[in-house]
Amino acid sequence: MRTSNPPIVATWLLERLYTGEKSESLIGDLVECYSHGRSGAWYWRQVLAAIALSFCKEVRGHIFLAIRAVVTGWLAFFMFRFISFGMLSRFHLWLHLYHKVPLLFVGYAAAPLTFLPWALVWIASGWFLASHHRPHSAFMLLAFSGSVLLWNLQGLPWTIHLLFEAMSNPRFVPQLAFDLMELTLPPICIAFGGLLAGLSKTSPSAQEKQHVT
Amino acid sequence: MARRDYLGNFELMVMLALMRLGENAYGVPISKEIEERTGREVVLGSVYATLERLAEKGLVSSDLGESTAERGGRAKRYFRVTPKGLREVRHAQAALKKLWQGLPQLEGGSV
Repeated sequence: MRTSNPPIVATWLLERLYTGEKSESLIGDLVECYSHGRSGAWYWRQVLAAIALSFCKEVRGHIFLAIRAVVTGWLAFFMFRFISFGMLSRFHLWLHLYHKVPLLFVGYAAAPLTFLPWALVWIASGWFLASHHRPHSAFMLLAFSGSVLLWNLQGLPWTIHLLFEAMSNPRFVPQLAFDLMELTLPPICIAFGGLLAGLSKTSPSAQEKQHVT
Repeated sequence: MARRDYLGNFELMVMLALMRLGENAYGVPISKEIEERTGREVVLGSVYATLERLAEKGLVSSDLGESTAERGGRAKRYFRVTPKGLREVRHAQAALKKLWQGLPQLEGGSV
């Protein structure tokens, strides 16, 4: 029997994002299997599948809530993008005019600077969505993150093409890293924004049951 | 004829596993039982999702059991088939038997 703990991040995600009712028993079962020799990859696969399954079940039962999450999330995103990038471009212009800072960041070295404002916008959107839908913020954040991921998947064929190119030619690696970052950054930032607002684990179904009893 | 919700394929597998396991039916042995008898990997989350659906239909009930160190101090949840659940399984069995009867493709075992 193995004594080491299962992947902490995976358990942490399951505790917060699994919307089923019996999450404690499920985590206990997974930990038991892990302690009997199952691999970390198996544990991660089980955790992600459990979150996806419970989320799909909630969406089927609360389609209008899911639509509201997607619409509110995107509205928040456009609002924060307008605020931050409007302010940023003016600040940038001010730096250029009074301090002779070049107007454009060019090259991959500036990638973190390019991503930073976007990350802040996604974080703010996640925070806004979670703080305005506290009773079931985990569900709302997952629905919004899912819509963002789906939207970003339009660039997946190009990313796959880059992956094959990068295998034979290392000069494509920075562009590949940039694309992968663009794909994965929004959901991570949305989740982080949600955490800042204080994630509530209660699912819409569980809340309905509380109202009934 | 009254409309009846039949048990789905995986729901039926879970119900049969519960009946086989008796008193010891919690997540791990249920998924092991299905894996061993069907030869396909089972996602524990799907077992729980199915059990929750079956519980909503009143076909299974559950109780919290003991917590152990190897489970990180988390309690086991034992499931069992309710009388209504047993009736549903019997009904599914009867319906499937009727459907399987007289199919030449399934006789003899070749191809």
